[in-house]
Amino acid sequence: MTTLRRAAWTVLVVACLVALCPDFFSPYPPTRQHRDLPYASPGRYNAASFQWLAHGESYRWLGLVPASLRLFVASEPGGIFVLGTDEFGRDWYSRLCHGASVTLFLAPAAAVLSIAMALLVGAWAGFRGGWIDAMVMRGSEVFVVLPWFYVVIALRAALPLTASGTALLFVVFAAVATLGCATPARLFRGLTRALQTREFVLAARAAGANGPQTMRRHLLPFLLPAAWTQFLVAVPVYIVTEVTLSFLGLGAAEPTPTWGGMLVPLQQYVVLTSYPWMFAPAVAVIVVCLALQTVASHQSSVASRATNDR
Amino acid sequence: MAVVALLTFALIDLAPGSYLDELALNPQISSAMLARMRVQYGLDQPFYRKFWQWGRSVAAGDFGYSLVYQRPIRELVAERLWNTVRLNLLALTMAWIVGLALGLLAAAARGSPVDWTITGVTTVLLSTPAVVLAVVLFASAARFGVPLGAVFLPVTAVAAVWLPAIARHTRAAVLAALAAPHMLAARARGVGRGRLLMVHATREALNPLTSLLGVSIAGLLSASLPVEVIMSWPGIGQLTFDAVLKRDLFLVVDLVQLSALLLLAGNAMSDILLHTLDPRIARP
Repeated sequence: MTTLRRAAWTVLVVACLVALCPDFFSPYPPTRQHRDLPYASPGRYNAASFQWLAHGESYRWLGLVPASLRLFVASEPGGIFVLGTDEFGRDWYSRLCHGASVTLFLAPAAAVLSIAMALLVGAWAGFRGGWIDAMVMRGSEVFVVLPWFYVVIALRAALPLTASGTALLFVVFAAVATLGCATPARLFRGLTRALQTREFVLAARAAGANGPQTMRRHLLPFLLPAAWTQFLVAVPVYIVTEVTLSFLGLGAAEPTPTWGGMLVPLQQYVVLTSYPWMFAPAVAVIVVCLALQTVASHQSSVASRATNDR
Repeated sequence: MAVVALLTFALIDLAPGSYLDELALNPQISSAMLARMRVQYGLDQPFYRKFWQWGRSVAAGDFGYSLVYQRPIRELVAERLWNTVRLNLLALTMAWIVGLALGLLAAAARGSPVDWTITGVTTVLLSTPAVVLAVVLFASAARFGVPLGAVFLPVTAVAAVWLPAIARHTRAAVLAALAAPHMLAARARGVGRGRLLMVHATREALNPLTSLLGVSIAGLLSASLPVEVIMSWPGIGQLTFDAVLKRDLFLVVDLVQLSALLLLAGNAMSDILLHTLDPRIARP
């Protein structure tokens, strides 16, 4: 394992931990406002004292388990803002942690949904061939031809503008995942077709294996590595989708923090030029996507080597 | 195309709230007038009648009437379409010229600091969302006194979306081409390094790159929409965004149609190009 890949995995593991228990990593609840400290630059204010691993404000872990342990807390009044504050004096670092749990849950969820659908449809079409194959392929062409962003926007228009942010985001993402499954489905279909001409599949058939058996025992093991690679490639795409949608005001609504929604203040000129710490979510997005890309490119080279060897 | 139309139409029709609902909040507009407008624009018809009407008029070259702008959609789109096409063409040209140059440079200097820098920069660019890029460009333009209305800004933002993919694919394709046996033969014949790279390898690398051109054309409209909105570029992306927020039914449907059409045209163009450049693929 190279240093680069180790670093990438570290980033991903840390990001996942933060996304899983955002309250533990952040000193404040995401909506706590320090009205006297708007746009405070990163630092310590009013000589607030700092405590590692202390009990702060209580929260519910995963929305269920009551807890109050936090990685660090700061005494009132004043506070410690690792990444400064926004216009309402909300701790930007705490919001970043909570944003991670929305963004980094939504993107992999959409990717899993999309790849699972693609695997199902693609493998089925490739396996059965004939008119089913032809129909699936024509259908996927419709999806591929759609300019997906226009469709997402049209879809967002179809949902009420005032609906609750997070629930809405889920619906939109389910749709994006459906649209996005066309390209990987074509890939899986191609792979299945190629695999079916191989001798071991023929041998299995000759030995009397029926359709589902062949599929499960002989084809699926070859499709899964490809699916894993596609998943790693798809996650950053969906992260960027969330960022873009929320940035344009079509994603989660305030005060739910998401990484894209947290970039909205950058639309104000003053923020853009004077408060560099507001760029933190952008940096977070870039770092996580970079890590995912590093892992994905290695994975794809491993997968292609494995397929060629066997 | 018909499926696309039906889907968008159904989506917007199912949406709660319409432009007229918003007008209803205006105390100066009477309910009688609202009812008359509803009939006039055919909004009181059931879904399938509306769709049929729309399909018939589009076939006759009439794209309908925008409720919000109070103008025929054909005029509205005509004045903005060119802006979007111009933005995308310029961006595509820029992305391809710079991307090809960087990719070739990286392949020529494989393993050197130049290669590392180019690979590093393109990797970072690849994982930067277009919106962030647009905003950062905007901020730096403001700081260095570049006029904010310049074409240069949105073009760079859209180009930067595609540049990394193009540069990386070029590098990979050229390297793969250089490793081919006939390259060794050419080198053995005494073909110079420069000529080898620019003529032999580039010709070989053209094929996968043309496929990428098709893909990049397909993604262009989606990439340029957020940029148009952020930089207030008066193109069809921005128009779509506005129309959606204002629930302008016919405008949204027409625009999604139009973007799908542009995409098809782009795809067809790249397919033709691929056939011209590499007649081998015509054989089944």
